[in-house]
Amino acid sequence: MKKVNVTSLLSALIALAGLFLPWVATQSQVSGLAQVETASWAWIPLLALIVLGLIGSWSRAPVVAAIGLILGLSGALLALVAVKSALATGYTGSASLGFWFVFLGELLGAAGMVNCLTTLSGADRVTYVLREVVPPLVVPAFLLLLWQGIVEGLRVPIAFFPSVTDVVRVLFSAHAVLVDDSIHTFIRQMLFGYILGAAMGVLTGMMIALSPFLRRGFLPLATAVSSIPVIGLAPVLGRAFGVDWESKAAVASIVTFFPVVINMVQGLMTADPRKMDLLHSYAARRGQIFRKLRFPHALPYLFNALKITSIISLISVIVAEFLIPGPPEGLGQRISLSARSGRYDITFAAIAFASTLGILFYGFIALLERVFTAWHSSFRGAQRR
Amino acid sequence: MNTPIIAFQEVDKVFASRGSNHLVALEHVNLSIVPEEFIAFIGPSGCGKTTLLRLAADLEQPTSGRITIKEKTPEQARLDRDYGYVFQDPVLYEWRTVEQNVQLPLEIMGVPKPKRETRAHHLLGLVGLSEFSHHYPWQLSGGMQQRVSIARALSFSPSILLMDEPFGALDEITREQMQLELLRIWRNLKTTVLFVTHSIPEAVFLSTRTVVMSPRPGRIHEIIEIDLPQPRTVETRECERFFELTTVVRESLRGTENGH
Ligand SMILES: Nc1ncnc2c1ncn2[C@@H]1O[C@H](COP(=O)(O)OP(=O)(O)OP(=O)(O)O)[C@@H](O)[C@H]1O
Ligand SMILES: [Mg+2]
Repeated sequence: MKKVNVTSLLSALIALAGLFLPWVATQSQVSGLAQVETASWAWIPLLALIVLGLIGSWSRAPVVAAIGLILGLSGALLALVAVKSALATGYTGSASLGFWFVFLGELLGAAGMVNCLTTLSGADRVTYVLREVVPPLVVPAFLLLLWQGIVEGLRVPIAFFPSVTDVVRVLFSAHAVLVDDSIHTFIRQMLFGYILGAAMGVLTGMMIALSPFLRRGFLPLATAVSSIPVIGLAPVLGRAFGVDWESKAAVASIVTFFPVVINMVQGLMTADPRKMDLLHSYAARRGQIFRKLRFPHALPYLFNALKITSIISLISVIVAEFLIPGPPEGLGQRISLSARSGRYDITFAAIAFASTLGILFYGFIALLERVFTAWHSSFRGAQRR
Repeated sequence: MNTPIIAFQEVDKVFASRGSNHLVALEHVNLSIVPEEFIAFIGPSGCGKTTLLRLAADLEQPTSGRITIKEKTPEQARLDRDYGYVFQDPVLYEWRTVEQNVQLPLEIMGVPKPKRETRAHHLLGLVGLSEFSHHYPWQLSGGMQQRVSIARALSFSPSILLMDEPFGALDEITREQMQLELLRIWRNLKTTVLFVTHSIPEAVFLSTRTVVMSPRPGRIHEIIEIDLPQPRTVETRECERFFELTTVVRESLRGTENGH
C-alpha cells in the first residue's frame, strides 16, 4: 500500500518535462505549447492532469488506478488535439520533443494503471470488472491512440500509413461500397465455399472412418495434401473455374475440406474403447455404434476444425482475390486496388471490415459449438457452479 | 436345471505384449455355473477377475479352452443380448443425461420410447437417483455414477449379470442397501450373477458360491460353497455361520499369497 507506483511516477515526470519543451518547430523558430496561439489553452489542463498523476502515484488503490487510467488516456488525447491544432498553424515539420514526452508519458502512465488493474485480487463485483472487463476494452483504445499519435505527430502521409481518423472517415463515407464488397467476399465466395467444403469434409470423413481401405489408402494422402499451401494453387483454380467468384469459392472449400476430413476421422476413430465394449455387449449394430457413440464423440473434433477453417477460408478468399483478380469487387480486390493507388485509408477500412466479419463468423461457429457440445469438458467449468 | 448356464473348460488367456514376454492372465480355468446362481469372485488385484468376465461376455477371446453360455458360444449369447455388464468404471456417456444413459441399451434394442421412459424411471428409483434423471454424469459423484451404470445394466432384464466391483465406490450404508436390492432383483428376475468384489463380507453375504482366485498366473484357487439360508436379510450378517464363512474365505485368500 505504501509503496510508490514507480511507473506512474516516472511517466508523470516525463510528461511534466514535456510541458517545458518545444512542441512544434520550423526552420526559423521553435515553440513550446504555451507559445503556440491556437493550442495554448491546452497547457493548463495538461499540467493539471499531470500533477494529478503525480499525486496518484503515491497510492495503489484500485480506484486510483481506474481514475489514473482515465486521466492518462485523456491526457494523451488532449496532447494529440493540441499538437494537431498547433501543427495546423503553418508549421511544416513534425511534432517536437515536448509533444512526444507528454503523449508517451501519459500513455505509459495509462499502461501502468492497466497493469495495476490486472493484478488486483478480490472477488467482489467492482474488482472483477476492473480486472477482467476493463483491460481488454482499454488496450485497443490505447493502441488506437498510439497509432493516431504517431501518424499525426510524425505527419505520416496517407500513402504511407493512414491515421485512425482517416480510416474512420472512409468507413463512414464509403460504407455502401464496403458492404457490397463484404457480401461478395463473405457470402458469395467464402461462405458458399466453406459450407460446401465442410459438408463434403464431414461426409468424406465418415466414409474414411467406416472403410479400412480408405483409411489406409486415402487418409495419409489427405494429411499430406492438407499441409500443402492450397492458396498457391489459386492461379490454377482460376484457370479451371474462371476469374469470377467460383474460383475463390473453390479455394475456400478446399482449405476447409482437408482439416474437416482429418479432424472428423480422428474424432470418429478415437471413441473410448470401454464405451465401445458397452455397445458390443448390447450387440449394437455398426450404424448404431456410429450414431450413439462415434458421431457424438467426433463433434468436438469437428467444431475445432470448423473454427480454425472459418478464419483460414476467409483469409484464403481474400488472398485469392489478389491472385486471381476478376471484376473489381470484393474486399480483397478493394484492398489490392486501393493499396496500389496509395489510398491506404480505404485499404485499412476494407481490412477492418474483413476482420470484423472474421471475428463475427468465428463467434457464430463457437456459439454453435457451445450449443451442440455443451457436455464437453471444455465447457463444464462454467456449468458446474 | 443342472445343465450349466455358463461353462469354462480349460480356459487360458495369454496377453501378447511387445517383445517376447507374454502375460498369462488366466490359466486352466474350469468353472461350471448353473442358472440362478450368484457367484462372487475374489482375489488379489491383477489375478484376472476382469479378464474372466470379459471372456464370458465375448469382449475378449480365450487363447485356448472353451467357453459355453446357455449351450451357445459367447458370441451368440452376446448377439442374443443375454448379458448385462457393469464395468469396473461407470463408463457413462457424457453427452447423455442420467436418464438417457439408462435408456441406452433399450434404444439399441429398439424398445419404444414410452416404455423406455417408464423403465428408466423405475430403475432410477431403485438405485435412489430419481431426482438426478436430468443431470449429466459429470454432475454426479463417483458412487452415483456407478449406480447409474447398475441401473443401465438392469434396464433390459438380462439373463446373465456380469458385475465388476459395482459397489466399490459406494459408502457402507448405500452399499448394504444396494446389496439387498441386488439380491431382491436377483430373486425376482431369476438371473445368474457373476460378481467381482474385493470385500470378503460382501462376497459371503451375496453369493451362493465364492470363487477365490490366485495371481500370476491367474487361476481358480478354491471354490467355497456359501450355504447361508435364502433369502438373505440384514440378520444374515449377524449369524454365526456368516462369520465362519468369512473366516474360511479369508484363510483361502491368505493361502493364495503364501505359495501354492
Ligand atoms: N488388454 C490387456 N493387455 C495386456 N494385459 C492385460 C490386458 N488386460 C489385462 N491384462 C493383464 O491381465 C492381468 C489380469 O488383469 P485383470 O484386469 O483381469 O485383473 P483383475 O483381477 O480384474 O484386477 P483388479 O482387481 O485390479 O481389477 C493383469 O496382470 C493385467 O496386466
Ligand atoms: Mg478388474
